Amino acid sequence: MIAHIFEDLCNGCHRCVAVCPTHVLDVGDGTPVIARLDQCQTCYMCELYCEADALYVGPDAHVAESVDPQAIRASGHLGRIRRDHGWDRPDEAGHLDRYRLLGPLLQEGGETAARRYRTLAAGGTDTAD
Amino acid sequence: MPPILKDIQPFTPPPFVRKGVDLFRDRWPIKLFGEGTIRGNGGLRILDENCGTNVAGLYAAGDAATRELATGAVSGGGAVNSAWALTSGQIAGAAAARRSLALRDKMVGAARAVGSAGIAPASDERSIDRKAIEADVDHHMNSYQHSLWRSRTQLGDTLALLDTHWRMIGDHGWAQGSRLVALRETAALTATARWCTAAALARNESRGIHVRVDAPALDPACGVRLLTGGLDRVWTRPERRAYAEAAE
Repeated sequence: MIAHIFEDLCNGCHRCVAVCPTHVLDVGDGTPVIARLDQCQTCYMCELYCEADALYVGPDAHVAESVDPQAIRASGHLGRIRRDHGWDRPDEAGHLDRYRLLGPLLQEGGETAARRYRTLAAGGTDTAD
Repeated sequence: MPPILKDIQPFTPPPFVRKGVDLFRDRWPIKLFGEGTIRGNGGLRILDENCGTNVAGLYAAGDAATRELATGAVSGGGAVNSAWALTSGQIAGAAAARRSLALRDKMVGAARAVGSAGIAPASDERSIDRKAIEADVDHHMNSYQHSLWRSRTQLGDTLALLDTHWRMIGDHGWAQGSRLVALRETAALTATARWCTAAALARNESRGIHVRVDAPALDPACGVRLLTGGLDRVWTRPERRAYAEAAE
């Protein structure tokens, strides 16, 4: 669930208020207000659209999280999802083209799982290889 | 896989990183989340090459549009489903824009709401317990008991309950502004759940992820899609054979 809005980073564009599909945020005095936290479904849409990297969404979809703003700021999480998706800079997201490698990767995962189940069935010890 | 996963699915690692869990080395609790049986397997019926529906000026795209024409009964989050989301959005958007342009000089006056749920209650206004209704919809659509082991009796009970909720919203629901948006969403969830349930009742067989414990075998005679609709009265009927064949 959305956990924090950094007032000093927020540029007041209020785009997060508009894109939130479940109307969690209200327009505030300069900075948006988290008005209906119980409706947050942890979709990260607000983070994607925040060009100021002023939002942090906690990973738990069911439990509100109180965070240490300074620790979040230092963690490098702010804006990472937006940048990794090339959300507002598609020309910087060439890596997404490697999406076609997902099929072979899933295949590899399936084979790894099958190997582990065979080992377990034969009385062996499970190892996360 | 570790380095490449961040490249091709940038949304997957962040929740783990933020939680302090090593996606590839640690173990973490998992939970099965029901998506119902609708994802990728239903939606507004598309009737022409512009993603048009049977409502003039309404074009369907993405998850809101039926995509059997592109994918059959296969669901999923990527591959042809992603391609469908992008292409249907472009097709539907272009068609809507063309229609708007053509009507540009003929538009006069304000738009008129044709829906009535939450807007024009049939009886006196009462407060609607949206959370209770949505909890019922969630339980009857997504719980293991209801989604994995369907039966005529259970589906009948579900439909009766959902009908009650629909009547409550239609008779007594009224709101404005963002509260109206929320109430209309509750109404849409209820309507969609009634359509899913009615179609599941009409399909007296088990096929794919639709499992009827009282009709566990696949019936070759039922190899046709079901259409469903209606608000105060929900209906279902088999899709015309000719349409099904034209799609193949």
